[in-house]
Amino acid sequence: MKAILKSPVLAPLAAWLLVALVTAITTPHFLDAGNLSNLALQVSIVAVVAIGSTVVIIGGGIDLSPGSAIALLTMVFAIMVKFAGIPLPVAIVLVILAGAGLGAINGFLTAYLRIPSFITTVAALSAFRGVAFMFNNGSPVFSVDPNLETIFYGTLFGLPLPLYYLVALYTVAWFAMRYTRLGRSIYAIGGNAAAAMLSGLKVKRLQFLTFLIAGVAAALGAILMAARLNSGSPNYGVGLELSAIAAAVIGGASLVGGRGNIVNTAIGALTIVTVQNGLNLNAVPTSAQNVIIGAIIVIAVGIDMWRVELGGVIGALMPNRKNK
Amino acid sequence: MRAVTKRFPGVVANDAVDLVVKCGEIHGLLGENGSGKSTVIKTLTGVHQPDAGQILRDGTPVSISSPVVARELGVAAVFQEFSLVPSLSVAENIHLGRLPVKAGRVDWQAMRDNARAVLARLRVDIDPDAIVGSLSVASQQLVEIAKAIAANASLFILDEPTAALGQDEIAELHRVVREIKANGAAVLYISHRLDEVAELVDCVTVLKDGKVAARAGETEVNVEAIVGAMVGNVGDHYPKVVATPGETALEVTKLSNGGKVVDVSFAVRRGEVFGLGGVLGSGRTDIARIIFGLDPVVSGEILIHGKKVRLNSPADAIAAGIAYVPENRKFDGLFFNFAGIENMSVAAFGRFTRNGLLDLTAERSLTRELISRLAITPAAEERLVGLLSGGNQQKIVIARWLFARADILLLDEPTQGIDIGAKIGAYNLINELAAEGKSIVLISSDHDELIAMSDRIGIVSNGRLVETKPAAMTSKTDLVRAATAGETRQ
Repeated sequence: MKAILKSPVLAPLAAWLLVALVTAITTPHFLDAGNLSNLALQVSIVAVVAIGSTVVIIGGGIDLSPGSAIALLTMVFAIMVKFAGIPLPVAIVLVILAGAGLGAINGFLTAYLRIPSFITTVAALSAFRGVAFMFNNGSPVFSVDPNLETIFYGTLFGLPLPLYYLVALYTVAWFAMRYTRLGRSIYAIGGNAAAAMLSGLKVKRLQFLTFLIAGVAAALGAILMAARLNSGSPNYGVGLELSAIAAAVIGGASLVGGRGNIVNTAIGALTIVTVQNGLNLNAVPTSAQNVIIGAIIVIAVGIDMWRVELGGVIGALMPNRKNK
Repeated sequence: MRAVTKRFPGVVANDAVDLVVKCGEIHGLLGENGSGKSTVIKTLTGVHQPDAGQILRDGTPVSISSPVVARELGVAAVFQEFSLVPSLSVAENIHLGRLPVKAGRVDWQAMRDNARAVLARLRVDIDPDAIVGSLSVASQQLVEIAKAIAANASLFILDEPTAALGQDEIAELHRVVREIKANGAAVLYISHRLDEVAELVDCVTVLKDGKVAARAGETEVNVEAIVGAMVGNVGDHYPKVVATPGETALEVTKLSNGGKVVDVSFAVRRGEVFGLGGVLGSGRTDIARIIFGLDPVVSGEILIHGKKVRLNSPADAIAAGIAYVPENRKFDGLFFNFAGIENMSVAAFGRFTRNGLLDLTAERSLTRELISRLAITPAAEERLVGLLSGGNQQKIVIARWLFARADILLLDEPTQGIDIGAKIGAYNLINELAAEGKSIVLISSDHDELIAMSDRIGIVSNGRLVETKPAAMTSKTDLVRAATAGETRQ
C-alpha cells in the first residue's frame, strides 16, 4: 500500500482522472465507445513524439523541432511512396532514418558545437518546415497509398492498432531508461553534466544520442500522421512540440534536467488530449483552446519550479522523489 | 539576543540562545552543521521570527520582522552565495537598489565617487568600474562587504567567508574585517576553520544542539577547548595513523601541461598519503586534473604501478584505477537528481551490469556495503543527496570511487565546508583507505590539516613542485614561505 502511495505515477494519474471526470460530467458523449476510441487515436501521435521530448528533457536539453520535423518527414514519406514508387515497408525504414538524421543535426549542433538546445531546435523548428515547403512546390501530397491508412485505422482484437504501438514503444522506452546504462547515463548528464564528465561518462555523445532518439520518435509520429490522413503536408504538426513537452512536464519531467519518467509522460499526453477532446465536445473554439493549453503548460511548469516553496502537500504528491 | 528560542516541527533549532555582540568587536559563532548557527543568522536577518526571547539593539527591543527591516536596522549578512549581479560594475553593485539620482537620472559620477570612497575606507584596491563577474571570488567578497558598508550597516554577519579563499586572500579579508571593527561596527564571524577563528576573533560563542555550549572571552580562545565544546569528546582533532607504505603506485616524471604546470615529478606509494601544499591557484588542482585525464600531458610521463599510461579522458583514468574527488562537491561531484545509491554507482556501471542490463538489486547490495562501511546515513539509500548533510555528501562522493575500485585517490579539498565532526570522519576514512593499501594525493589549503594528515608533502608554487619532504618535518611557515616565494617570482 505504501509503495502505491509513493509511486511517482500517482500524481499525473490523479490529474488525468480529474480532467476526465470533469469532461465526463460536462459532456454527454465523452464516455461513448466511439469517442474513447477516437481519444486513443488522437493521443497516439502526441504520445509517440513525447517519448523523444522526455528523453531530451531528462538529458538536460529541450527539443522544439518535432512539429516541423513531422511536416518535413510526412512530405518525404508521401513523395517516396507516391512518386518514387518505393514500397511502403522500405519507405517506413527510410523515414525513420531520415528522422534520425534530423535529430543528429540538432544533436551535433548542441552537443559538439555547444549551441544551447533551445536555440538549435528553434532554428530547426523554422528550417525543417521551410525545407518541407520546398517539396512538391509546397503543396500537400494527397491519397498516398490505400494501404497506408491501415497503419492508423486498423484494429487487432477490436482495439485500434496505435494502442499496440504505444504500449510497445512505451515499454521499450521505460525499460531502456530504467534498466540500461544508456538510460541511467542520460539521467546523470541531465542531473549534473560536470559531475557526469568527471565520473567518466561521454557527456557529448550521450547528449547527441538524446536528440537522435527524439528524431526517431518524430519520424514514428510522422508515419502515424501520414497514415491518419493518407497524405503528407508541410502544414502538419504545427504546435505539436508544445503538446509533447507539456505531456512530459505534466508527467513530472523537470526542465532543469535529470528528472522525468517515461510512463508518466504517457499519462501527461493523455491529459493534454483529454482536455482538447473535452473542449471540442463542449464546442469551445480553437482559439480559446489554444489559450487554455497555454495556461496548462504554464501551470505544469510552475508546479515544477515551485516545488520547493509548495513544499509539503504538493511535494508529497509530485513525483520529485526518485523519478525513474 | 536574549534567550531566543526557535522551534521547527520536531526540532528546537535554537533553545534559549543568548548572544551579545558589542560594537567594535569580532565575535566568532561556531558549531557543527545543524547546531543552530544558520537559525541564529536567519533570525537576525529577519528570515525567521523567534518563538520566544528578545532581540535588542543598543538596549532597546526590536522586532526584525523581515529582511528589509533587518537592513534598515543596520544588519548586513555576507553569505557564501553572494548577492551581487555579475554583469554590473562594482560601483553599481555597491549601490544596488539605491542608485544615487539627480534630476530623475542616475548620477553616475556620484556613484563612482562614493564607491571609490567606500573601497578606500577598507583600503582595498578594486576598480569601481570593473565588472563584478570578472573579479576573483575574493574580490567579489570584498565588494559584498563594501556594499554593506555603503548601506551603513552596524552589524556585519560573515558566514564562512574564507571557504573559497587562498592564504593571501584570507589575510586580506582578515585585515578588512579588522578595519570594520576599527570603524566601530560589530562583526559576527562564522567559520569552520578554527585556526583563523583563534587568530581573528575577540570572543567566541559555541552552539551545540541549538544551545550555547561554551563561551570564551578575549584571553582564552583556545582551539582544542572549542573543538571539545563543539563535538563533545572526540580525542584527537587530527587522528592520523601512519600506514606501512608498499611499492610505488603512482609516479609522475617531469609532467607539464604546456601551461601552468611545469616539470612536476613525484611518486606515491601504496598506503601513503601524499599532500600537495601551496596557495589557491598555485597549480595543485591542475596537477590532479592532468593525472585524471582532464588536461593533456604535453611532456613528461605518468606511470601507474610502474607501467607508463596515456590518459586521454576521465574514462581512461578511471579504468587505470584513478579517482578524482573535485574541490567543489556541489557543482562537480553530486547528482542532485539521484539518491545516494545512484550517486555511488555512477562511475562503475560495469560492476552491476548483467547481460548488458543494470542489475538494480546487485547495485543496491553493493552500495549498501559501502553505506555501512563508511557509516553513511542509511537514509542515503532512498533520499535524494540534496537532503543529506554535507558530511554524508562528501562520504558519498568518496564512496563512488571505492565502488569503482579505484586505488589511487586524488582528493581536492576534501573537508572544505564540512563541520569538525564530519572532518574527523573524513580523516578516519583517509586513514582506513591508506591502511588498505590505497594511495592518496591530498590537496588542502588548510595547512594544519595537510601537515597532520599527510605522510609526505610536496609544495607547489607557480605550477612547479618546489620541494618534497616528510610531513613531520614540514612546518606551516614552510608552506607559507614557499607560497610567498612563488608570489614574488610572478
